[in-house]
Amino acid sequence: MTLRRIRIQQWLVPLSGILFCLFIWEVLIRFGFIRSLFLPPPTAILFALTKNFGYLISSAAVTVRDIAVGYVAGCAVGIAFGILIGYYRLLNLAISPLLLIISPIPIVTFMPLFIIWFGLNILPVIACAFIAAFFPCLLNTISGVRNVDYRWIEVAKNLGATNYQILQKIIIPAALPHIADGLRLSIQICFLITPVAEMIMGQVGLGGFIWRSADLFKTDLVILGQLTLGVMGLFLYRVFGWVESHILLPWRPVKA
Amino acid sequence: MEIKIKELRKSFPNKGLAPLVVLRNINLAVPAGNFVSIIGPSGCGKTTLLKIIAGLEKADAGDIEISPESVSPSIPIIWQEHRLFPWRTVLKNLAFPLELRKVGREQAEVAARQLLQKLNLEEFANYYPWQLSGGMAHLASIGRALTINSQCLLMDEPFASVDYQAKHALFRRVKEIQSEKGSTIIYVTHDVRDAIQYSDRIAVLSARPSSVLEFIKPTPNDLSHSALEEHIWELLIESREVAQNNLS
Repeated sequence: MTLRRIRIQQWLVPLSGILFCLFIWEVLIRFGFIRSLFLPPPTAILFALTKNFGYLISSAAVTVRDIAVGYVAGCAVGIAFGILIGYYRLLNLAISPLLLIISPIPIVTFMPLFIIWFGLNILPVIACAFIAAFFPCLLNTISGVRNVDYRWIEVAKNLGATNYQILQKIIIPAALPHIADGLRLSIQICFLITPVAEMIMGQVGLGGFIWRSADLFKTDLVILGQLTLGVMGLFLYRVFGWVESHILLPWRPVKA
Repeated sequence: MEIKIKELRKSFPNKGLAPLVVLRNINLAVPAGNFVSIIGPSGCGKTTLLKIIAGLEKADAGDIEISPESVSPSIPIIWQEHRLFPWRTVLKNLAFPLELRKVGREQAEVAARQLLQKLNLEEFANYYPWQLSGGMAHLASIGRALTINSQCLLMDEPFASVDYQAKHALFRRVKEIQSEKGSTIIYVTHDVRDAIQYSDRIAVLSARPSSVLEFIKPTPNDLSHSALEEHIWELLIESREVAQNNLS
């Protein structure tokens, strides 16, 4: 099979799968098997998209901003603390029990506290995104730093590296695969948590868009909001995959 | 560079038991510019001895005199595995020791490129270690050790995992470098034949706790090589038997 045919097949097969599912979905509703009030057909959702495009985009932009601010800040702080805690054994010993208790707490349960602290504005949502990004980055960075192959440190010491040079030139780059795992996990959790936080806040972002639409029984808009989140998620994972393989870890062997 | 090892002793903690004595009483004088092989049974402390010479481990007792004192503070080890940093290209791996010495990045890369040229690895400068064959990766790791410009190289059985041809080629390169720079090389190995073929002198270590059984100077005579090989094997087997008897 030629490369071109393989490529066409890689696009064509999934696309026909999607089209087939949409067709079945449409047929089930058109023939009255499911009431369109509960599950509107794809064509109705497409129509809702054309009618509410501006509203959808502005809501999506708010969600993107909330995720971006929370993610960048959470990851930066998580990685920085992760390096410190991973590098200094005593600090790790002192802080690990606290992290073990805090990190499993469901992030959404922080929301009431954030609303009390920051008020009814955008900050509680961003704070949730921050927490969502912070813990995976922190824990993965600690694990990455603590599990650096000792043989590389030995090489660096033998070649005359100081402790600071070992941290900067060996430990941090060697921990990067773990840090990248943390960054990927963070983006996934951010994406799960932020719309929920927006729903709790009621009126903001795509979470708010979905919640308000459900209040009005506009199920077409609810599904439109969900699909938008799905497409955004897919796009973000793809972008992250590119950043990971081209910027963060270009040295990793290419998978066959 | 001449290295004199006197009454060296090293032990390791042993989980509540008496410390595990690895090196009991090592006395060795490595003449400047010599290729000296250290041969001994597994676990007799050959690598530990190299690490002590390189300053990576501290001895419990004894002395190591290095003369003339090195300009570079460290004696590079070429390890059993190539130990190139996987996140750096070959060029940047070679530039690494110079970067540590605050040589500018550009200057370090120019020097590394010159060395790569010497080692016939220039076309692989921008490859990552996983893209190299075993032999090339070992050659690059030798290059990285050479950037320090030390008058001594410590080799911890670095070619054990490469095929015979590559091993032979790598040895030839090492010998060339040795004669070019007049370097002293201490080479740890299990392989008696390699030791006889390439060394100016061979130190035979006993089983743990080890000491130097003999410090032999091979002659360039094929017939005596096989006799020497047999003699070294006898020494090693005898020392292992003694160690086992002591244990039981």
